[in-house]
Amino acid sequence: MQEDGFANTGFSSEMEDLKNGRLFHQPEGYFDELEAKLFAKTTDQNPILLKPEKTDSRQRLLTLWLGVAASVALLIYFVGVPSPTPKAESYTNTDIIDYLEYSDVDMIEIVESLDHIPEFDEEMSDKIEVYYEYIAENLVDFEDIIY
Amino acid sequence: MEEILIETNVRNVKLKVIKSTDSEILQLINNPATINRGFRMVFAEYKEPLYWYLRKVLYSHEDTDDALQNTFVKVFEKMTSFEGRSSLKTWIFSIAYREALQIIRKNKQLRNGNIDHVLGLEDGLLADPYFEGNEIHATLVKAVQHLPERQRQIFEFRYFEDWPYKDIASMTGLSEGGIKASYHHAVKKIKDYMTENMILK
Repeated sequence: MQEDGFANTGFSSEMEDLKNGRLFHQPEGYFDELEAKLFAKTTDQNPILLKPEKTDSRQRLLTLWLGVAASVALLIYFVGVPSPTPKAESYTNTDIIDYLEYSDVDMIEIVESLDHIPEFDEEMSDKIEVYYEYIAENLVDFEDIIY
Repeated sequence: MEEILIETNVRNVKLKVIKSTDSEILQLINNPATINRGFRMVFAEYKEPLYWYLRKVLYSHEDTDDALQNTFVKVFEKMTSFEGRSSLKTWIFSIAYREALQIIRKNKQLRNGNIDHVLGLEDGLLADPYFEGNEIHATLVKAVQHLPERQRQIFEFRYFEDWPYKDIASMTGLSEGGIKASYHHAVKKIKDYMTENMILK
């Protein structure tokens, strides 16, 4: 035990109480609330710091598909265009998939909001061209996700 | 990774906790793919030690909450440029100390820098639903508050947190000898304050 200098005083036990923090309490659930609040705050300030994904396999697959679809769409869009945007060429499929994987974009919500294309379904692999076409035609809507 | 055995107050349950080293945490922080995990690891490891340190320095839960949030935001903002000149713990606690100091100074200003702020603190403490102390505890708090800023910082890290003198020296940039002298002066001042206030029986 360290030499604290209060051993022979009339308030050594009270000093010990202060030291141990047993006099203080925090509101129930405080640390959980703090975590939520803090990570929301830091996410706003630092786009790198994002909430952990709680992805199920369906969402992971969707993320993968959209990532691939977006990158293919980019290639289709820019091939043959006289001055392709250099930015588009600097992103690989892996970059885009990684970005989508670690972003807080709710992919299911986005796809479900696109009511004029068929709802995403794992069985729809044969219809993936629909997504390619849609993304190519509406690239501007996906810029925030892709870049 | 380091395994630590922690005894909890609940039915003497013993928990085995895996503690990450500074370099493991920094490795995660410096990789964009794992930065989020690194920050969450820092949060998990330091949230309680920092909370209790700040609480013993600031006393009120609200002030502690403000300081703690600001501390973590600054830690996360600056961590990628952390150069490792001190341990991660020393660096994080020094940020927490500066945040606490800002709140202490702001509170003093709000109370016009008058000594009455200390009296206000004591009354406020006894009325605080999250404080279970008695008048002696409140007077001790007041005694600590009367210490000059630097002496108080040294006292709080040494007495409340059990930090070795060399770590306090590393954080403050003062010599170990100076830290020891300052700590002993602080203890004497607290004793004198308590005697003057006739708390001793």
